[in-house]
Amino acid sequence: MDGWSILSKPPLKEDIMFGITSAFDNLWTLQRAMENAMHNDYFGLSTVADGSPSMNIFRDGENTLVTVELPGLNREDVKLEVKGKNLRLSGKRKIDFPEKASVHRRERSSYSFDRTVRLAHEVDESNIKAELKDGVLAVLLPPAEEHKPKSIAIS
Amino acid sequence: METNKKDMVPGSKHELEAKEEKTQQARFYKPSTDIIETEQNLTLYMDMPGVAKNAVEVKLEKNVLTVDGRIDQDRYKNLKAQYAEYNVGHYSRSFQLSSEINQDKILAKMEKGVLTLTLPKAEQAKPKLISIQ
Repeated sequence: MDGWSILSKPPLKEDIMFGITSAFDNLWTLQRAMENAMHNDYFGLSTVADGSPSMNIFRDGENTLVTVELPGLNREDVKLEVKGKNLRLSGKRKIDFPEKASVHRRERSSYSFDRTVRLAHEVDESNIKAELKDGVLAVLLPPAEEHKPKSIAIS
Repeated sequence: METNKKDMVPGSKHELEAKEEKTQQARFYKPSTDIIETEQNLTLYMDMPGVAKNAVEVKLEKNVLTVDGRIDQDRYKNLKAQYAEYNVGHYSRSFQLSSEINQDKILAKMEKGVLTLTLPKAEQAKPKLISIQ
């Protein structure tokens, strides 16, 4: 019998002798598998499977505001490029610990990302404003002149 | 660009499941935390993007260390969301500390959305080298 792949190994002879141990082992494995399934993004709605920093896009009047959470990053760690409707964001985070330190818990990680999003309008490239404050990057993108809505007088 | 699997970020933000419920109606998240220990210190690094320097509260009570960070909700007031991948909320997390900490000498630094807490170990908790006769 092959058994379930999420349950660990088939019981050994010793485990059968101390049946309880192996039963608990299997329960733990199952629980861990379920927890992993809950915490990964498999069931999420995100468009990025590789886990780039997530991005929010807002409308502020006629401008578009893009925000990204980038804790610990310096200005020089992030690169922003705009061309037409496309906004490209790339960067890198590096986490270092001193040598001779024992690590008890590790939830933050080093990563690099490179992502391009297509905006709803072309951007007035000379009036883009970007700030990185308290670990949040905010980019304000005003629409290009020819993309601004024009009011039409009704005759 | 070639992507390196090792460089990718695992997981996303986790909403807080605290033992005590909060009295305000707001979202709370669990800040991602690294904890390292050296001979002198226990150091915690917590990612709390959006939290300003003066909006962090650190408490140590009966060996339970509690960190609260508030974001500025007003920043999002007049904005219309068009597309969202993450939600914003305050941060809160508690830790039960195992080794004795010198409470008067805790150092907290908030920079670029990362809180660094340096907790110096109390004299009696530092490892002692015992010489063998």
